[in-house]
Amino acid sequence: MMYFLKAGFSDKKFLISRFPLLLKLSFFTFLLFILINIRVTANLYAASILNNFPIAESSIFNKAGDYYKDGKYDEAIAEYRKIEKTGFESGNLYFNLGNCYFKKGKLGEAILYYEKAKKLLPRDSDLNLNFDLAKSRVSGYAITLKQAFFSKIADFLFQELTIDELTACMATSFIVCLGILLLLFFRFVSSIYLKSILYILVAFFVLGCVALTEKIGLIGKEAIVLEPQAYVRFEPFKKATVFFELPQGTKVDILQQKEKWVKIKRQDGKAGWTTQESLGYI
Amino acid sequence: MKKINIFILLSAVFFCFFSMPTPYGRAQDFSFEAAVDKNRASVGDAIELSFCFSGASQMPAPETPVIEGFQVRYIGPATRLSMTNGQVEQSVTHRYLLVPLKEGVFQLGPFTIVYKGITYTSQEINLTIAEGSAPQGPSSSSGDDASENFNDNIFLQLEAEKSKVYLNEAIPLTITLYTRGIAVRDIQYPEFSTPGFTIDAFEPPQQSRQTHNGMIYDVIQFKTRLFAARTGDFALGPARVKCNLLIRKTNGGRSRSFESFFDQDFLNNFFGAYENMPMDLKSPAISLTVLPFPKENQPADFNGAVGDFIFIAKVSPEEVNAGDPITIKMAVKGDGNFNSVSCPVITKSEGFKIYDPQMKQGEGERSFEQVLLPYNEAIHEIPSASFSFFNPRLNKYTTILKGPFPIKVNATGEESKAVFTESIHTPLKQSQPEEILGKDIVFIKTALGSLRRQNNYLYQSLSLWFFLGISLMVFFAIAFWAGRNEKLRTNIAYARRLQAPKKAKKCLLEAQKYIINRNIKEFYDVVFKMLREYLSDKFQLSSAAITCEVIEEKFKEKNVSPEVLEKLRNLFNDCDMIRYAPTIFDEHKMNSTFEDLKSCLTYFEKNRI
Repeated sequence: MMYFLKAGFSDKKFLISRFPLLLKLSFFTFLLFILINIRVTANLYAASILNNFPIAESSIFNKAGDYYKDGKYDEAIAEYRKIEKTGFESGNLYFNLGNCYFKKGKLGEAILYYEKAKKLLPRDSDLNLNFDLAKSRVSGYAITLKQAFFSKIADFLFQELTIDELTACMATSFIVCLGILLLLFFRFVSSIYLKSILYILVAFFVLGCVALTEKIGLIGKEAIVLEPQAYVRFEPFKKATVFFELPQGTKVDILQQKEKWVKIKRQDGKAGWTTQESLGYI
Repeated sequence: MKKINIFILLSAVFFCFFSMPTPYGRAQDFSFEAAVDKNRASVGDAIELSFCFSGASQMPAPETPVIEGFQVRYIGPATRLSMTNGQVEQSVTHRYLLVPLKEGVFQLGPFTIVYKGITYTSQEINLTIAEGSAPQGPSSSSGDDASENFNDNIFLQLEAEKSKVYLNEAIPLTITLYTRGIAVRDIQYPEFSTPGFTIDAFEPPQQSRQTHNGMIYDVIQFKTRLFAARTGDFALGPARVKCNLLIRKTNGGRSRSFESFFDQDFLNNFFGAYENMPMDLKSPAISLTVLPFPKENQPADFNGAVGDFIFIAKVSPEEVNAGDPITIKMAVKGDGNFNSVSCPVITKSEGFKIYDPQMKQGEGERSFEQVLLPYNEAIHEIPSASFSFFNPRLNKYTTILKGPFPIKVNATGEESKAVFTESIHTPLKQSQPEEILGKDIVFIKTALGSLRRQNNYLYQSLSLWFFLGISLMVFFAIAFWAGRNEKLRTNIAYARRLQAPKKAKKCLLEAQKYIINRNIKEFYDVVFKMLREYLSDKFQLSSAAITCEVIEEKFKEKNVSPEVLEKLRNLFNDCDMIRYAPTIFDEHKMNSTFEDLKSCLTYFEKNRI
C-alpha cells in the first residue's frame, strides 16, 4: 500500500490525510516555544536573585551606587565586582564600574569596562560620552585598522547592535526571506516588488552575517592595556628586546597565549609579546 | 666517532686548565705604568702614549688626559696573556696618540688611576718637541721672535667691528682661523651663539695670508653679521671651528700599518705616511657693549629701525571710484638691520579704510604694500607716509616723509555702500569670549538594567538553530509541494499516471463489494472499466483504444513478464466471456479474477510500468 501514498499530493484533502505528520511538527514547534520561554524566565530569575542577597537594607547595586555618591570608589568597585562574580552581567553594571575607575584615575580599567558596556549598550548616549572622554585622555587608542570593503560596510551598518540583537535580526531576516520565496512560489503578490525586497533582504542578511561573524570572532580576542606603559617584546621572556611600548588604554587584539605571556597585535598591525597582567580582556 | 670524542675531551681539558686559577703559581700583582714610544719629536709628529695595567684582565680605558700643547686622541686597548714557568701574566694597555702643537720641552704626568680602591701613580715622562715641517705648510717664517700670546701654530680668533653698538644695530663679525706650519683640512663653518643676539648666515669663507706678530699665517676668514636684541655688557663667544689636522704617522704596530691600507687617505699617505686627526678649536671671547637708543629727539613714530636707509613710496592707481582700493607701495633700502624695519606710518587716516600691510624682504631692501579705500569723492589725496630710523654712524634719528599723494576719487551712481566706521586708531571690537564648557563623565546608572549570563550568546542557543532548521525544512517541504502541484497542473500525462493507481484502488474496493454480494456482472463490469481506465492513464491513450492486442504490444515493448501478460489476457477474455456465458462464472471465479487483477496491478506499480 505504500506505493499509493503518491496519490495524496494532488488531492485537496492532502492536509487532512497527512494529519499525523503535521501533528508531530506542531508538537516540536510548541516545544521550541517553551524552550525559548524558559530562557527568558531564567534571565528574569537571575535578575531577581540579586535582590535576595543577604544584605538587608538594599541590593548590592544600590549600595555600590551610594558608595560612588560618597566618593568611596574603591568600596563601590568592590560591590560592583561582587555582582560580576556571580556570572551575570549588564551594561549598566559595567558602565558604573567604568565610572568608578575613571574617577580613580585608572583610565585603562575605565576604558576596559566601557568597552564591555558598549558590547551590551552600543547605543547608550551616556556611555558614548564617557567613553569618548576617557579615550581622549589616553594616547594611541584609536589607530585605525585597514578593513576589507565588505567588513567596513558591515561594521558601519551593524556597529550599533549587540551580538544577540544582530543574531535575532539575522534569524528574522532569514525567516522573512523564506516567506518571500514561498510567496513568489505561489504568486500571491506582484513578483517585481517581492523580488526587489528579497534582493535587499538577502544583501542585508549577507552583510549582517559578515558583521556577526566578525563580532563573534572578537569575543575574548580583544584587550585593553591597563598598566601606564606596557612593553611589547619580540619574544615571550623578560630579557627579550622591546619592540614597542603601549600606553594605558590602548586596545589590542589577542593572537596567542603562552603561560603568562600573551602575543598581541596593535591596531596598526605591529605584533609582539607582553605579560598577561598588563592587559584586561574585554 | 672515537676521534671526535677524544677531540672534545682534549678541548674540555684545555679550557678547564686555562680558565681555572693555576694551583702552581701565585696570582700576579697589579701595576700601572705610562710610557711613550719616543722622547723627541717635531710639531705635528704623533707620539704614542701607553698606559699599561699589569695583573688585570679587564680594565676600562681611563679618561683621555688633557695635556697642554698637545692634541690627544684615544686609539684603543690591547690585551696580553702569557704563561711563564706555570705563572699566568695578564695585562691591558690603553694607547693614546699625542700630537704636539708647539715646540718646547714638556713634562707628561705623573698620571694616577684608582683600581679596587687603591691609587696607583705612574712616573713622569719628559718630551722635547722641535719645530715641525708639514708637507703643505710654508717654510718657516723669518720672524723667530714670537709673541707670548701667539706661540701656537693654529688658533682661532673672533673679532667684532665695534666694541660699542646700539640696540638692533648690525655688527660685522669675523671669525679667523690662523695656521702656520700645520696642514688643516675639512674645515667646517664656525659654531657661534650668544644669548641676546641674533646672527645671520656665514658668508663663504675667504682664504689669504697674513702676517701676525712677525709670522706669516695661512688665514681663513668667516664673516657674518650680529644683531643685539637687548642692552648691556656682553661677552661674545667663544666661537668654535672643527677641522682635521694632517699629521705624520708613527712607526709603531704592525696592526696600524696593516690598517692603513683601509684608511680614507691611503693614496695621499702612501708616500708621506700621514693621517687625519680631528680638532676642535675655540676662540677667546670678546666683550661688547650694547647701548640703548638715545631719548633725545626720538621721533614719535620711531619703531626701532637702525641703519642707514632711504625711503621710497608710490601710489597707484591715482584715479578711482569711491570705495575702490588704492595701493601705496613703500620700500626701505640701504644698509642696516632690516629685521628692525617696520611698515612706515601713514600720518592721517580720516576718510580712508586702511588694511594691514603686506611685507616682502629682498636683498638690501624691505618693501610694503598697503591698501586704502577712500570713502567718497571728497578725498583728494593720500596722506603722507613717515619712516623714522636711527643712524648709528651719524648717531642721530632721521625721519623721511613721502607724500601727500594727490588722487582723484569719482562718485559712484549708487549710494555709498561703505559702512566704514573703523580706522586704524580705533581699537578692534573684541569678539565674545568663547564659552568654556566643563568636561566630566556622566553620572552612574541607578538601575541594574537587563541582566544576562556572561559569555552566553543567542547564537550559541541550540533551540535557535533548531527553530531555523525546522523553518528551512518546512520551507523545502512547501516548496516541494508547490512544485509538485504546479507539475500536476501543467503536465497532464504526469497527472494521469499519478491518478491511475488511486482510481484502480477505488475500483478494487468496489469490486470487492460485488464479490461479497455475488454480483458477477457488476463485478466484471467494474474490472473491465478499471482495466481500461488504468491502462489508458498509464499509456496516455483513450479508453476506447484499449484492447488486449494494443496492451500486449505496449507491454512487449516494456518487457513485461509473460505470466503477467497471460493473466492480463485472461482478464480481458473473462470480461468478454461474461456477456456470452455468464453461468460459468461463480464466486470462485470472481475471487480468482480479483487476485489476478491485484497481482497485475501490483506488478505494474512495482515495476513502474
